[in-house]
Order: sequence, then C-alpha cells, then structure tokens
Amino acid sequence: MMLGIGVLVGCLGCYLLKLAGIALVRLIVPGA
Amino acid sequence: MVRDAAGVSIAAGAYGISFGAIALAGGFDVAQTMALSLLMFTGGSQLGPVGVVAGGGAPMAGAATAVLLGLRNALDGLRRTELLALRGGRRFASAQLIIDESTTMSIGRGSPRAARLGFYTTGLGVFVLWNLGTLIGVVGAAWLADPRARGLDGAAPAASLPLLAPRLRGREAWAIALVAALVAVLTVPFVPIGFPVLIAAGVGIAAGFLPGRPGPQPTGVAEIVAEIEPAPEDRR
Repeated sequence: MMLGIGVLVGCLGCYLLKLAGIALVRLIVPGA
Repeated sequence: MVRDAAGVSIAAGAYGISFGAIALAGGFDVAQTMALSLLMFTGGSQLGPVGVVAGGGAPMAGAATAVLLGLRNALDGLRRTELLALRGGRRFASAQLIIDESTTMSIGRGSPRAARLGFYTTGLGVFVLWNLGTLIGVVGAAWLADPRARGLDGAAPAASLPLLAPRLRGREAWAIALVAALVAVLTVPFVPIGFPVLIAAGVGIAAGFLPGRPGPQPTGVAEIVAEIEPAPEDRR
C-alpha cells in the first residue's frame, strides 16, 4: 500500500517538475 | 536524425527490459513497475526509488529520491519550451516526453524545425520502446533473474554514446572524452558506485580551465538565447 502511494507521489512529482520547467521559462525569458 | 533517434530508442528499450526485471526483483509489483515507466518515464529517476526500496528504504524516501533526480528535467524543459514552441494544451503531453535523450537530440540542430523533429522522434520512440522493454522485463523476470549477467545493464551507458557523438568534434574533444573515460574506468575499484562518472566529469571541467585555451565557447546563456530565438523562417 505504502509502496503504491510512494510510486504515485514520485510519478506526480516528476511530471510536475517537467511542467514547472515549461512554466518557469515565461518568468525567465521576456516575451515568452 | 530519425536513424539516430531509432538507435537511441532501441538501446533504451533494451535497458527497459533490465529495469523491469530489476524493479520486480526489488519488491515492486507489475502495476507499480509499469506505472514508473509510463507515468514517471525518466530512466534515472525511476532507478532511484527502486534502489532505495530494494535496499530497505521507505517508499516515500524512494519517491523523494525520484523527485530530486527529476529536477534536471525541469531544467531541460526550461531550455526546450520556446525552441519547441510548446504552447497551449500540447505542453501537458509534450512535458512527459522531456527526458535526457529527447533533450539531447534537440540540441545543436540547425533549425527549430530540426530540433522539434529530434525531440519528438526520440521522445516518442523512447517512450514506446522503454515501456515495451519494461513490460518484457517484468514478464520475463524469472528468465532474467540476473539481468547484469546478460549484460543488459550495459545498455544504459551504450545508449549515451549516440547522444555524445555529435559533440565529439575535433581532436581536443576526443582527447578529453578518452581521458575522462580512462579515469572513470581506473577509479571504479576504489570509489562508490556513481562516483567514477562524477570524477570523469571533473576531468572535463579541469580541461576547460587549462591555460592556452581559446575564449569561452557558446555553450552558456548566449547559446540558450540563440536557441530560443526563432529563426526568421520560423516566425509565424
């Protein structure tokens, strides 16, 4: 059970990090 | 480029077989292993939690390890977003394809269009074959009781070679790469797992500080801005 939750948390965290990189570029590159 | 992407994808698929078997042996069930490959989909970050859990660590510690290792993908996304014209809903699907291989295959291309081709062909190819490989590895785990004995763990570094090849331009780059590789091999018996690669990276950094070298190469902010700035024919 805990392992399943850990897997889901890890998967969600990694996907959100990928999205964060895409979102952050708007803060760093003017006009992006 | 498509041929290179296919080569990288096939190598990743072979390594996926090893990953599937290792994860199963590490205590993950079939669904959890497939979830790691389908949803996390970032090779190194997947091996992190498997290593932690297989070593007796808590599942949440494994998740934290995966997230820490996944930080590099945020930086990859930072560099790729504008070049790949990731906008709207496409960002959510494309984000999943941001991995080391697709990022590397989109760097140094002559045009944004070529960069996009490199990114998507590699990202999709690796996604399909990595997950197929994981499935085969999970199903055949009994047969692959020790994947290392069959040499499949060597597929990971082998997959890096096509990524490195475009960067090896000129004798200097080759010399640094060969010296770094030699140092890595020589340090294997004396340092913990993972450290030889870091030490080899140190060789490259040290070579960059050698006296008599030309000025800084365009590999920093200027290059990123140049990549982000769309080519005239791509402004639409």
